[in-house]
Amino acid sequence: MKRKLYLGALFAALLCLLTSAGPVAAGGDYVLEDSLEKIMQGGEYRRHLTGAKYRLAVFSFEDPQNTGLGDDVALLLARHILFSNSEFAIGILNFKQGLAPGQPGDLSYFDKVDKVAQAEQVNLAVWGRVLPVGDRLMVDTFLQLPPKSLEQNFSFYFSMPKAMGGKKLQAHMRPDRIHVQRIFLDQLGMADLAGAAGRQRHLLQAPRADAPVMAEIPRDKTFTIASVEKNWVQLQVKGGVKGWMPRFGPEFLKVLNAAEFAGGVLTRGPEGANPELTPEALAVAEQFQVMEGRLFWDPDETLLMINRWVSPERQAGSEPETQMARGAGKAPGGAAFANLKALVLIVKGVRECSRAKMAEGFSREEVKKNLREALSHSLSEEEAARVSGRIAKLLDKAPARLTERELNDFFSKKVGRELDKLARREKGGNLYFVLQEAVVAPMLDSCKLDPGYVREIANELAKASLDDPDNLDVLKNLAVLFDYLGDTERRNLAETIAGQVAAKK
Amino acid sequence: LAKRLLHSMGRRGWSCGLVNSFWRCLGATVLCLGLTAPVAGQTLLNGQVANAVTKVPIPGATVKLFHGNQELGAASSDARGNFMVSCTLPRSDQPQNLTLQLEHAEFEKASLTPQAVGGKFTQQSYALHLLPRGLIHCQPGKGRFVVVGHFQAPMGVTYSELPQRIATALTYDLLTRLQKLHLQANLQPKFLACEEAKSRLPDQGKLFAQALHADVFICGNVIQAEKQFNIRTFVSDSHGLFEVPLSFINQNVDLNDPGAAELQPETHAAVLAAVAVGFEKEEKFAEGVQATLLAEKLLEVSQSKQPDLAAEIDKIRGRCQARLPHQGLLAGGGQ
Repeated sequence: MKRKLYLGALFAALLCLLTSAGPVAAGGDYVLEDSLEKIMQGGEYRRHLTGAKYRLAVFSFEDPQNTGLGDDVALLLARHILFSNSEFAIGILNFKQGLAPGQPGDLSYFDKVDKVAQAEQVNLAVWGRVLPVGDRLMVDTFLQLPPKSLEQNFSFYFSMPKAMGGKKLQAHMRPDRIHVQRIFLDQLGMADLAGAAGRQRHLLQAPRADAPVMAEIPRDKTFTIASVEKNWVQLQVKGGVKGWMPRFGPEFLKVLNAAEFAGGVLTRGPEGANPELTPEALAVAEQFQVMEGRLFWDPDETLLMINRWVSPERQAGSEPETQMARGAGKAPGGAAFANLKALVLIVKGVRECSRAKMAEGFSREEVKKNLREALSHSLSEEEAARVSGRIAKLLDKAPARLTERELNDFFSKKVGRELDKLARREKGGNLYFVLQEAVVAPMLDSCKLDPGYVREIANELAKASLDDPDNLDVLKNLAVLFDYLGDTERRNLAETIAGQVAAKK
Repeated sequence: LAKRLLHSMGRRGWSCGLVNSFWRCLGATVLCLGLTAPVAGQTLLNGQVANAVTKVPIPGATVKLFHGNQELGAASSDARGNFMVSCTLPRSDQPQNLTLQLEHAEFEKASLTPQAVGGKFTQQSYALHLLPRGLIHCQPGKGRFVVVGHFQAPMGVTYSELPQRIATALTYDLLTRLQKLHLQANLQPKFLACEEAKSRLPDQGKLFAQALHADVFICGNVIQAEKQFNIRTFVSDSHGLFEVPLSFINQNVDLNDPGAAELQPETHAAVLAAVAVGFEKEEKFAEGVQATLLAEKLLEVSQSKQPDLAAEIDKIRGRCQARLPHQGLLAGGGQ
């Protein structure tokens, strides 16, 4: 009982620390098998370091030949992610023990990581393997996006115009189990790695390599980053000492390129080309760029990017500018790029349609009506009537038909001022976008793409589904597209197969 | 009845030819004579016992038939592996499950459950296969399996657990790839080391794969090279995919280096191709497609010089894709 109270207090303290403002880093070592046993037993699972905004599970790298470097790589990756993202509240859960199956058929590797990552609700999991090959060490690093994180941070939905049925098209990052890096370290590289890891286990009195050691970093203790000085980080152990630790970069340890990438995935989104990483890492980074909004802002450029992965314009080998290789053959992620291509083509079509409509100009009365409608969703009835009345009065001075430019000027100047006043009072800063949306959205919603154009997109996507039969995004999108085309037979089939695939998962 | 039985026995090798001993002929004759006047309710169960791997008949196997704990009859297999158990069956109109047990000192025990209705067997003749002793743990059950057998080494050359290390390396290399595609846990292949599976000739690998109900059987040999060793690997399958075992070579390796157990991408591709055929047979076509695409990727990465293997993989993928319901999504319904 006393022990339970103590643990409760410890967790409460961690929670307070992690939910407090400011950069906070926390780490904890846990035994994988203990956590798995609790998960398998069912019932309530007590998550660790729950207060951190970004939570990362780092698993000791598989080390079948007991080189002792598996823990070192995991430690270095975890520290690098922490130190490179010190403005964020990050909790790092470090799981010990192996991921290989004890017996053939046992839960293993990605599936094992997935169980723990889902129970812990972490944003990202990192694991890998070290293996001596000849006189070198092969290091593989994997990232894994748990389903919840994938849905929240790495998915994209586009609502078709209402005139086309208004249903949603979707895309999710694939692969969500990513082989980020494979590198070979020579003897010197291994020594550097072991040496660097050793220096991540204790605190020094000063930011100098020859400074005396103050203390070991205690396990299961949280610590904050007190300050950063060039390549040194000052850590404050909760309720304990404050001391210095060096931070290493990928220029010193190439394995840390994987950590840079993981840090990006965790906080800002994966970054672009890096010749030290795999084509899969590049594929993930480029998909992220597309989903982040690039497909809206520049569909043509996005299509060029996608076509570098999808036949017949598939690029193979290293890119001269970046030295980054895209691999050969089918793109990583199955039909992910083919699916994104379908989405981009639809978005491009809708965008061109709305542009054409905008070129025709906007009816002043139509704009008034849409504004009233939009405001009624965001404000009280009384306030909506007041604000829309004032905007209508302003609009009355505008021409009966406004060009896109006139409408933009009207919103940014006159309506903007009116809304600024309202925003100061109501703290409703988003209203400007609500109103603009109210004018543009009906334009988009009235768009109806040529069925021949959509059919071609759907047919191409259907072909891609043969190479990635369990891709739910593809199947669901096909159902939406066939629905628009009035092809009920193919829509029903796509829905049926999607149901079967979902049941499998 | 006696005429028909004699005819049947003749076809099964029970005729009194020159090769048979006088006593065996006499025994058969006595049995036949006995059958011309069978004891009321007495019936016969016959069959042949063979080595599950080599398919060579096994003489001297003890065959016993039980109903529950009650022994109904017993026999011993002859030089051609044939046996015949004479027994009196329970005269019940309800189907009765019996147990036929087989034992031989050099083979794993085996049993099967014949059924009888109204004092007669529903099936009277069985072909039975016994696994050589020591192989039982290499036949793990249902699902997709890859078994790594013995690797022959030159005299005086020792290696520590090479099959186990190869099985471990394959587990990592292929499971991680398949799990990346979210292949369901129950469909993932299992990799098993079986040092006892000693194939004398590479061609026997197929027989081992079939006997062990594995998709793939890997064996090989270790060859003294100029400086170190070459490891030659033979990949056979139980589905008739590879008429002759595919052979790959890892050159100049230190046998005790963990990297020596890392097989080449072409070997991985061959294993995945056989696993894909396993999926195809199980009508798991989507999984078959995934396995073949992985195999193709491995060949691309390694810039393989195995055009036949690539063509075979392409064929398997084509067959699996043709059976996908997704065909109906194509323009014109895939016609």
